Amino acid sequence: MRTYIARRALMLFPVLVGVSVATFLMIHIAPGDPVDLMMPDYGTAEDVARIRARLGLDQPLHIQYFRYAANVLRLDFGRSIRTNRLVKNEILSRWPMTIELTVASLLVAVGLGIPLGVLSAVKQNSVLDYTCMVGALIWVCMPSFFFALLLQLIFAMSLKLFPVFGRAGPPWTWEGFLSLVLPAVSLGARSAAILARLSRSSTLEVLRQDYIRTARAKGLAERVVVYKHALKNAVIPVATVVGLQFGGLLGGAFITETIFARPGVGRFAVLAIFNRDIPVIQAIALMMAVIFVMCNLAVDLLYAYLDPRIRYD
Amino acid sequence: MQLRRNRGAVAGMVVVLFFLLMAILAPYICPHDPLQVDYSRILAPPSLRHPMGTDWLGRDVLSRIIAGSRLSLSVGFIAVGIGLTGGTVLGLLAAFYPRLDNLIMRFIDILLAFPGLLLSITIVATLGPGLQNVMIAVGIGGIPGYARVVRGATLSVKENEYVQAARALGSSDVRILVHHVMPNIMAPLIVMITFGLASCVLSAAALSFLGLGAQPPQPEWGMLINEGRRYMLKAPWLVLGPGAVITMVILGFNLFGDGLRDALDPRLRQ
Repeated sequence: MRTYIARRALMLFPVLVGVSVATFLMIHIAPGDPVDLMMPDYGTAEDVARIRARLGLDQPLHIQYFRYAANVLRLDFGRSIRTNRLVKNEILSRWPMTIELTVASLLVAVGLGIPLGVLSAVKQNSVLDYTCMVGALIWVCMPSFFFALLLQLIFAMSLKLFPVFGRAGPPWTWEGFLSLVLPAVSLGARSAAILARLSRSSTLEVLRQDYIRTARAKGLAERVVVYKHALKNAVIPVATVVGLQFGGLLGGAFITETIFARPGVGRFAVLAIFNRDIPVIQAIALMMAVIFVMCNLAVDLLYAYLDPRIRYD
Repeated sequence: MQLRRNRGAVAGMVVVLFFLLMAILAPYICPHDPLQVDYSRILAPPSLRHPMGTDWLGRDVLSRIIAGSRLSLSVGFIAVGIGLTGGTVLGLLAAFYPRLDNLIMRFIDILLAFPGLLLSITIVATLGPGLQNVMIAVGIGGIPGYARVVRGATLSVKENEYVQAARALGSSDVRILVHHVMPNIMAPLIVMITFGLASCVLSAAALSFLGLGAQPPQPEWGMLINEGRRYMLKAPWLVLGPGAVITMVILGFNLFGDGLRDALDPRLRQ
């Protein structure tokens, strides 16, 4: 197991370097000169040259990259082109809100998706099975922004059960919890549908195995067969997908935060895109990618721990 | 053909064909001019004259959805084309030239490190908002998927005797790739394209919804929803119409893709 962890962690290194190169290059690929965006109209050519030198943009590309990488390791992402504030502070103050939303929607996805999927498989071809699978198919196909607006229209604007916009406080207060429900459900619904379909097929697969027949043959109660013998094995492949879903939720937070006007990094990033504020976008993209890669590593290790066969491939 | 026995797949195909026809015939079948402003009919609810109501400028929503099918579907097709071309070239190269394999697959790993919509959003952020950049961004977002499938399929096809026979006869690499490898990896690829169309239409609509794609007054579906949400309580049809249409198109592509997968490549069946 230890060599497996070491090998997987080593494989991470080139990916992380690549991700940092990719985000570094954004500012050079972007059309237009970033210095022009920062300059007031009365700026002279000397001003432009001075700022260019201050930002190190007059250096050769590889020097610029090493400087960027060194700064990033210290969480120094430079200053926002628009507000001139430190990107680090802007992002760190918003980051917890986005993590709060993604974790809440992941809980919705896992808490709804896996039990419903397993139940559908256990009661295959029942009314429950058909309802869940038709529902899952629709949620997989429905754009999350459309679902979010539907929830807003029905539960916030018409029934007035939840606030329409904003974040009313931390999720452990009642108001804060209420304001998190609709965003978390709308963001998590698609993942819940994906997990439900997957856990259903995975459970069906396991229920066909010989050891399940053996368990039944020796007279175990169906409940014990399903929840003691089948469930553990059925959930293993689902676990890997949960990690992937977490990444999808991070990306989806851009949309959900915009719709529900939640003060997270996703909404901040969308505003930054309109302002062509590249340092902000660089930092958010980089941090999300790093978190996602780490998350996948954790899931892989968990997978190897749960299923020892994986370690020997 | 096995496909015809799958009711879901047939339904999906009918839906897809319906919307494709709608997109092709859009200029001839719009009941009203999608850009025609009519201040006497602002936010009119659905009626015989306007089956899906009108928006805040009195424009006919049904006509805007029909006209939008052109934009939304063509963005999907072009994005799939970009992802497919890039992914196929990279996948073939990786599978055929072991020296390139590691390099290409690490590049794919880097693309995959940006989860879900984040890769496309980052690319649009770099290139700037606009429908054209959305096509490029969503297209690049699809590259890793195609590259992996093409590489995997090619690696297994490559070992077949007919490929070695072609090589022994002195065929060039390009000839082997085009005449012997490509036809044999088409089945998984066609299935992927169908699912890819669904996800590209969805991603492009999401980006347009954020205001990063189509710009007003272009009637793109995602943008119609974004514009409509300001009037959602007073005129819910502005959001419900385009939202239902996007859901149906994605459903159509997914059902059709499921059927194709079962018919073309039983090994991929879950």
